[in-house]
Amino acid sequence: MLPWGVLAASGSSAPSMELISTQLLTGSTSAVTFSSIPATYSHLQVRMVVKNTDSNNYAFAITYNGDTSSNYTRHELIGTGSSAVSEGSGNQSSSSIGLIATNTTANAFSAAILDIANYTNTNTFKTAQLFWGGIWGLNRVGLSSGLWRSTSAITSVTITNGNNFANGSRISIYGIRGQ
Amino acid sequence: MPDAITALANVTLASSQQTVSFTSISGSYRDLILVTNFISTNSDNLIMLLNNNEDSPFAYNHVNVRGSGSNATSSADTGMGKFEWTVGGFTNTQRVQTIIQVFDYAQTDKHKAVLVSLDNPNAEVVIKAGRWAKTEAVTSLQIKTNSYNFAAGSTFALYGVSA
Repeated sequence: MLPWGVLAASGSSAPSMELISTQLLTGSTSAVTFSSIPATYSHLQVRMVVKNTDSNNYAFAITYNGDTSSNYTRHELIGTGSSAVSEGSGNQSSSSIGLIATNTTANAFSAAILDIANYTNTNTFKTAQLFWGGIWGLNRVGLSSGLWRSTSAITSVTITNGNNFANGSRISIYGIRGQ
Repeated sequence: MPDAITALANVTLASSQQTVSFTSISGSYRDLILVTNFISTNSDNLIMLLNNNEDSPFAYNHVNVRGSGSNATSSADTGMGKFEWTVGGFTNTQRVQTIIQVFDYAQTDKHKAVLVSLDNPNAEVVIKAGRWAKTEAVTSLQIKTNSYNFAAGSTFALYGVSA
């Protein structure tokens, strides 16, 4: 899972990875939407450093263009520190999912990288890979594949948490140039 | 629009050595990405230190999930004196690739979250998550083998990601 931006950085002199937007969160938001995403890139990458405002474990989920119908398929590989777990499901209301650090360990945040391939291609469904994990009382690392069964170009990405994102959480979205 | 990823350093070993260090890392970025592509002179453990810190209180914690070709397993270590990752099954020709990402490395209100993918085609594929339980800014990063050496031709590239 070499970051596309790293590959692109070694190539042409044109900008290879551009920041589209960053949201710095303060504890009062449970969903972040990046809308009006320019169609000028090859791929998208979302980078997250996040935690919850309470002590319960919640999953975060990814949706595109506001679609919360059963148009997503996903598979997960998760390490718990004692076992490796795999699960898969179709006809879901969101793409890839992961867990977010709780507030039980001060200063501990979880991290995630979402790579969305060929997001403007109107001939194909959209595939994504989510790499996430952290140590916050729970030990978790996961890799999730997601498919959005739509040929529409992706113009918005929403990350929905089951809880509010704690103060200090940061979510950034980038456009990646090149193949 | 400026490029959001900047190549900070690129090291290709002319001869075998045990340690590669990146020092005086600028705090101008949000994340660091270290891409390694190496051959070790023997099966070994890969060690990463932040700010050359290998002393008490032990602040390194990590969890992994590993696919060996026949099964998948997961393990975790907490309160360690360093990030130390077993990399087995070496030959002297098969390169190992790791991508190590350190998030918000200059933010002094966060422990440092780390994601690692380790591709060892001869033996395993591994993903890891880690937390360095210190809030100080990361200004240096050291990667080394436990007992043997990185062979000549091994490469180590460090990038900064803006946000």
